[in-house]
Amino acid sequence: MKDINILADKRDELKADIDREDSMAKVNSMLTLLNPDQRACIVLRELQGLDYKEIAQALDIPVNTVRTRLKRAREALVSFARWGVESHEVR
Amino acid sequence: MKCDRVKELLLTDHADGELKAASKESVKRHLEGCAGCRELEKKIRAARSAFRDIKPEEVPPHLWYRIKEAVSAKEAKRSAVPVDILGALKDLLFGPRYVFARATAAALIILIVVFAGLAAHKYYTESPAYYQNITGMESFDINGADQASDMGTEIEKYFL
Repeated sequence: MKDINILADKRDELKADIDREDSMAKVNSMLTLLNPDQRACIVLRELQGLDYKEIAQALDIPVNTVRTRLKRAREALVSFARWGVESHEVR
Repeated sequence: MKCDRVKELLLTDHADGELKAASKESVKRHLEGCAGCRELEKKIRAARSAFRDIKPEEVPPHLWYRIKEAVSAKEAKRSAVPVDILGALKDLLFGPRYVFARATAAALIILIVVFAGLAAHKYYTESPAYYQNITGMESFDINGADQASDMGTEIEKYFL
């Protein structure tokens, strides 16, 4: 019984690792769609959790520029998501 | 609120929780009656969900120390050199930040050459040698002392 529990735990850990690697691969491919300026803003916002003011200070740019770069970045990401879904459906 | 404005907010302030209460309410009301904007909001949430699934890498403390040491060493090296004129000039001309430095230097050199050329041209064309060269006559200074000097002719009595 103990062995079964250990195996179940291992399986959950493995599944979590695989999910994490999948997400990492997805995020990496999404980030390649962005130019370096957009990528910096998206990473600071989505991964580091900084707000607009903090991103502006970190990158030494106006808050409105942060807003514009995030907007363009998300437009690209949404287009990518749509493309990803369509290509998945074709397969 | 119109769709264009709502779409812009969905991609920025709305997604990032930076909207004020009144605007938030307006967007919410718009979304209730607009399928297109609702669809966009759904797509934005889906695109952002990938980021939520991964956590940022934890940076080990020793890496921070190494970065700090490297920055301090660079600053110390910079302050140790009192005046690096050659380096400053090199930075100014070839540094990646001064993108217009070379253009400015070239423009200055061209200006200096053009002005020097104009000055030389003016000096030469106003010289007696030039006048004599193109007219075959010796120049004379009509405003100078020569005019006042008596040349011993009769007509000078009436005109000078």
